[in-house]
Amino acid sequence: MSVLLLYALVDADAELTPLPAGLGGRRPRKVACGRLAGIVSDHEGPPTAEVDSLWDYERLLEQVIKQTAMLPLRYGTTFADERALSAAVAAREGPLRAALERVRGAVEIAVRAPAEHRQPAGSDGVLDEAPSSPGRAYMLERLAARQRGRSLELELERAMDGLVRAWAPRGEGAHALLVEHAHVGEVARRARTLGLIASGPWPPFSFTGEASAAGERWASAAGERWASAVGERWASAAGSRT
Amino acid sequence: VSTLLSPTHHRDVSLVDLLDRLLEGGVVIQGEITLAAADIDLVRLDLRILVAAIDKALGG
Repeated sequence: MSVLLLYALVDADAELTPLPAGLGGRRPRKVACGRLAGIVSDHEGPPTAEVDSLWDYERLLEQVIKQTAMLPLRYGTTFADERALSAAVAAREGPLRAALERVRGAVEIAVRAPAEHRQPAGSDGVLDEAPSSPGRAYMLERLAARQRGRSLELELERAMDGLVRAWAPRGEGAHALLVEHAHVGEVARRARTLGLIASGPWPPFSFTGEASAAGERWASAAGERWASAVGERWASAAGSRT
Repeated sequence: VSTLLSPTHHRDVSLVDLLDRLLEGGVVIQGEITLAAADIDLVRLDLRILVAAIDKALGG
């Protein structure tokens, strides 16, 4: 069964110099999809989730984003043929183009606290006494982790003031920052000053609009604190059983 | 000014971020997302499924 592997969506009129080989050494090509275009390569079947393949995918995307604004697709997105691809993109062209505009001119920087910098449970006053059950201990640890996450977020907000277009949480002690190309070096420097590990620049995987809207917070919402529904429920549950 | 090497030139630092982004980020569009899991540790995925199930049980 032959498939088209879709790597990214770009403007239909984006001019790209020859790109490096994609997965399996396959030559990528551009397929028009209305006012957007897909970067695809042809394969005999769906890709495998091997680390080398993931790096091949990433390498191609890095070359694309150096040349034009793009929306990266989740790894493994395939279509039966060009017609199926065009139909899928056409069905959501408006939201996809809006998402592309939001990331235009920017890349994603990943920042996370190194494991040794994360405080053990109890060191921040959440656990003043031994929990009475494993379940309660688990929930209190979740609450403590959430408080540590908020503290990190506040530090990041102060340190990155004016440099970050948007950000999104990526689990405990980790955030994705949407940063204009010109600010990448300074953001990395400030992250390291805070003792954080920074990697990137990545394609904007965490800022693809409605496809990853959960937990995503844009800079225009300054003052609001990210709150994951799951985290709040755990904290609430912990409090009600204290 | 501090700079960042591209992730593909800094693989030792970037692997966890690579997995997080390629497998959980990006546009999800109508089509097939099919992976033939080979050398990937699926424990993390299983844990996510477990957390989602607990969350649902709590009324999420």
